[in-house]
Amino acid sequence: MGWMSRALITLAKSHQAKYNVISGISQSSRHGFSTTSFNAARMFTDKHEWVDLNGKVGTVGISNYAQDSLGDIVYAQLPDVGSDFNIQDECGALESVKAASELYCPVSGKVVEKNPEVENTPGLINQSCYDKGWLFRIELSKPEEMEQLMDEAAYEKFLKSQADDG
Amino acid sequence: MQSVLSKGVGVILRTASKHPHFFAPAATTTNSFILWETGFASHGASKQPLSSSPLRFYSAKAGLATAKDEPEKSVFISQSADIHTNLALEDWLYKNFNFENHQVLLLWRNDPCVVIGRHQNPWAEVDVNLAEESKLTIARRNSGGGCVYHDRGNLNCTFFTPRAGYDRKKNLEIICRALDRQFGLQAEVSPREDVTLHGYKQISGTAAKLGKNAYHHCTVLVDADLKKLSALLNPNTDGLESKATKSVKAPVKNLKAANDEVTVENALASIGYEYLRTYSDGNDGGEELIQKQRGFQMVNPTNEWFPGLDKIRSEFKSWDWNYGKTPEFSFQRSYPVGLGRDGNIAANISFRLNVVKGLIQLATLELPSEKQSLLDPNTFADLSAFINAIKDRPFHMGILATFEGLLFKRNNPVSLNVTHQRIRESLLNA
Repeated sequence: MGWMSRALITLAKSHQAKYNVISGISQSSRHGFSTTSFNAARMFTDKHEWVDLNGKVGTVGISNYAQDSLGDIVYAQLPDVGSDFNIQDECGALESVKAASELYCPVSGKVVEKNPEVENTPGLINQSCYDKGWLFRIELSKPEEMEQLMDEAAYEKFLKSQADDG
Repeated sequence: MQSVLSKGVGVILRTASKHPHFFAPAATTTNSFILWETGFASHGASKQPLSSSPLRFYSAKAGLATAKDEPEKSVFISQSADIHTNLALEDWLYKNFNFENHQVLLLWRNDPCVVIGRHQNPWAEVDVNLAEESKLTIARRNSGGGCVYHDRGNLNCTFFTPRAGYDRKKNLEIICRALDRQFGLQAEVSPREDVTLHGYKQISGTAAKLGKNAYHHCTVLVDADLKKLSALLNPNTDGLESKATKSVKAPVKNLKAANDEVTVENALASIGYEYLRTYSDGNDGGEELIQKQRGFQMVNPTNEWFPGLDKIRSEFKSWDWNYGKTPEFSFQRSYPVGLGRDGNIAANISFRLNVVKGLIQLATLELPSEKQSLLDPNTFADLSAFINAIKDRPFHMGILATFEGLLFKRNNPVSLNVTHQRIRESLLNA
């Protein structure tokens, strides 16, 4: 019982925090980022995942745009440690408001770690998608794939073009 | 033609007379669907079975020109009532179809079964014992959301679009307009994006799957067995702790209770027509738009029509999918052992299981060491043997019953005669 009630308390706290965060996002910056989250190493896919490479290992998460469009995430199905994926393979799912959204592996490699905090408290993805809400770490088998990804500026441009098309 | 059809399908008849191309006379039966295969725009009202040209709908060119950028629409009606087959059909279309220029509404229904969301725990949502006793299938689907009961009195609607075209509210509004147009029922879309009648009774539950394509599916309760529904979906979950997605319980109602003219058949026809007459922006295109669509098509979910369907179906049927995909959970129950002189409980023994991927990863027994004398040494040995034996075995409710049997047999030797044989039986049944 203990861990569950602790988890619930954490969840309640994170919800409080989340609403503060949300109220801080203005409509105009909905597709953008706050300057504090800027990270030169963070690269994005057109499926709205990000990879932050450190040596051979990349940390993977979803973008602010993605978490915002998904809404409250209630379940994170993350890939098992040790499993291998090719780029763009389906590697998990995030569930929010009755919709299961597929996660695509942004680069090829072997999963070396997943974020148990996110499994326990999926709301962390909404609350802190670039920091505490990371999903898993992957050892890249084809590091050159990083070159195909967008840096933050290019990703922002991509989001803008998507919004213009839509 | 009118004399052939019985009054049981009167509502369809009225519509049918407006759209004669959709129908062929149903000479032998009045109960089954009278919608016949079509592709009517280019082929007229042909009665030829589709099996002569598998997947024709999938590669066919548009029969009539449509407004620029407006996808054509088809209504597929599954001819199977088997939950695993229908889930496989849905998954096949999701994975293989290109919905950019051709959008699809799949209508289907099932023999009695319970369907749980992708990230749910069957034991937390369904009275699994009752389901097993009534030989009722519990099936895990690929979309999110909660648990629903299906039977022949329930219609399922799957709206397929490209990911960018996914819009649950618009789809549900199609259903509401259909119910209003055909039956004068004032249904509305709730804030949780379900369909309610008279403000609060839910007649439909929604869930969705998003990837490169998307689908939104929902149930429409027409004349389902609500007693069975509530008996099955209210299990005893004492002691179960899980992070799995929990269902949000809601009072439900059958459409038939609001208007006794509604049947699954005519609800199906009216929702199908409403879908065909609705532009992708949600506006009504009327009869004219219906004429431009590909229309209704009976779909036979076989491996011949949908190569690879059998494989998907067997995955949907497997233990690994239905139970093995259960998010990690624990089950803990406490039982009193020994009564003090004053009649108060002397101690509690607690039994805890940690279940990972549907298998018992850890089984523990807890009794304060100073109270161990309260437990008969043979019972203690039985219980220890039991918790060792169940490790790595599939979880099922019978394990709790066996545990209780072992624990209480010596306290109550008359009614319970539990031996190691019973442990073995219980494991064999797992």
